[in-house]
Amino acid sequence: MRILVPYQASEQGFRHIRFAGDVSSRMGVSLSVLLPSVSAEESERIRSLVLSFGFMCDVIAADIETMTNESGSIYVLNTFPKRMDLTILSPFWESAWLRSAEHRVLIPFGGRDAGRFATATVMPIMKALGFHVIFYHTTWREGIRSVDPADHMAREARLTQRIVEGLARDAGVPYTVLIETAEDVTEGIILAALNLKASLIVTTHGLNVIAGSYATQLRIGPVPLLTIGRTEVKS
Amino acid sequence: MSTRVYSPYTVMTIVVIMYLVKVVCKLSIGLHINSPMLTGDGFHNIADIVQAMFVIVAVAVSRMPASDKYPFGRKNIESIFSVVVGVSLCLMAVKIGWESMTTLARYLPVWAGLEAPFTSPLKMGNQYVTWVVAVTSGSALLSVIVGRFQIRAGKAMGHEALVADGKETLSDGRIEAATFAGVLGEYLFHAPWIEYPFAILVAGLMIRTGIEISLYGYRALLQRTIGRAHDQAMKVIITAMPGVADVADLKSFRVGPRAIVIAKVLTHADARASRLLKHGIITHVTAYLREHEFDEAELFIRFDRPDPKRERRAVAVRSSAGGRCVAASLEYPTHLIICDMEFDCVSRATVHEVAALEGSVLEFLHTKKVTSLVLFAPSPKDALLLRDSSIDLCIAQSSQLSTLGL
Repeated sequence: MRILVPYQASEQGFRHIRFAGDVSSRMGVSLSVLLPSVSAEESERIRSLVLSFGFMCDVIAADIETMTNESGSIYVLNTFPKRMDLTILSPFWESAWLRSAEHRVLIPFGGRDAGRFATATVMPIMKALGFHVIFYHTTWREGIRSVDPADHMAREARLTQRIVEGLARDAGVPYTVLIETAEDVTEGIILAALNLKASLIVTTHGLNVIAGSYATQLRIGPVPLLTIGRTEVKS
Repeated sequence: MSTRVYSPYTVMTIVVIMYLVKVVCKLSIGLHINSPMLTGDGFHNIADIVQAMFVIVAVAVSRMPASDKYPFGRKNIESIFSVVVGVSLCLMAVKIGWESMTTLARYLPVWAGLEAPFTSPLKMGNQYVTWVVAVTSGSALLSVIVGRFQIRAGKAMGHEALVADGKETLSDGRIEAATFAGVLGEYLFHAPWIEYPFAILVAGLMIRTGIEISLYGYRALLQRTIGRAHDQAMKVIITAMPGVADVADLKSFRVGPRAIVIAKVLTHADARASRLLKHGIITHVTAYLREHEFDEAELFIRFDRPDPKRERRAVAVRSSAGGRCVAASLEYPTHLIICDMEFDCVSRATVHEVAALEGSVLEFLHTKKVTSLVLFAPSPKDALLLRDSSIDLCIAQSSQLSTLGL
């Protein structure tokens, strides 16, 4: 497992390298900088540059759109390739992860498998980094009078909630559950992350979504987004 | 513990009833035993009733909703009221302090045997003591209870006028306690003068309270910041929000008890994300203000992009059969790409063939107002050449144009 970031010689590109370096050092994994092709001189220069940011790295020749996906590796990008199999961590404009001291991560879940898949994939990372996970679900109001949003949850969502809570318990990751009846799912997720000072939103691609994936909509920011790649989803 | 919220009118009705009871008791007993202190206090309580009426009017006006003409509402009428109450409290304190000092002076040996020069002495008899003790102690106790109730209710409802009037009522209670001390002094030690040092002390406290109340109102009227430390803390909260590049400006002031915060936030977020960011900022700043006793707050946030740092950058390019790459030095370029940069990214780029240039490369770069030139491995000669011009030399870590956003 490693953190991969494409090299871009711009302020934002350098910010991404710093962000990726910060993530790699926190996770204790290696950092690789990607270039379409690499000469020895370029490799040396880029390594020196990244070292001046405080991080060690290796430089590899690769193109995001065509390279083989490395299972478990995380790509730091905020331009999104068409591929759905890559796990992409998208900073908004940060140069360091975890701006807030609370170390909270928000994982939205619904009635489908996406929340379960995202939770199962990231729990080891959450455990290793000592994160507190907030499982978030927003539901439509059903024809009942209760003011408690949990009473409006669909049966499938309740089942998912039990599963993700079980995954967190098994992994020993502290968690809370927040159920809301937000007017818009994407905005509800982002607002909850902002209000609860979450440093990251974790999501994935839904298997049955053919347009308007929340994973895509959440890219508007401003909260960093980790999109777990799925090989079974077609781009 | 939950605090029951009363209507401000209910609170003020209780206050008026209290003053009516006090007026009847103090005037009837005071006039009967010819006590100027009690009688004066009774008349002062009539003024308190009038003041309570003003509080009711001020509260009614302040509760009127914001409108086009009054975008922040009319809460500041309560600040005007605070200034008036504070100043009148100070004046009353000066009067009480002066009278107490002059009356106390009468008890000094130098005045012994002379006629009372300034005020009538307190007339007391054992037959009245129970009544006087009951009225003065009961009145002081009532003032403390009702004053505290007013302050608590005023803070809970966000009515500055109620709080100011409550503080004034508490000051009344202190004066009444001083009178009570005098009564006890006369009864227990035959020393009625004990009342006056207490009254002087109370006058000092009244002046302090008066200044505090009027300053509170004065600061709101002049839109003084709610505190530099608060402004700084709010800037830190906003800057820590994801997506916020900086807080360009933040101003705060009070309208009545309500804190108003106006901030200009720099962000790269688009309109939709900015709207969400605004909600997040409001949540956190309002929570901060609530922790610091600003139960009501209104935030006006506008977003702007950070400085785009516009500049024009040139990239020297070597074109060959293998493709284009960043030229190593000024000896080899076949083309020059002129890039308009925003936020250090290329927003527009034009390509120019070096062979087709009329003058030298440097002359061309000057004509195009270029501020920096990118090379991959500049020679010492290039560095020297550019040092004498106003063009900065940038060394690319990679010779691939795609890494420069081209």
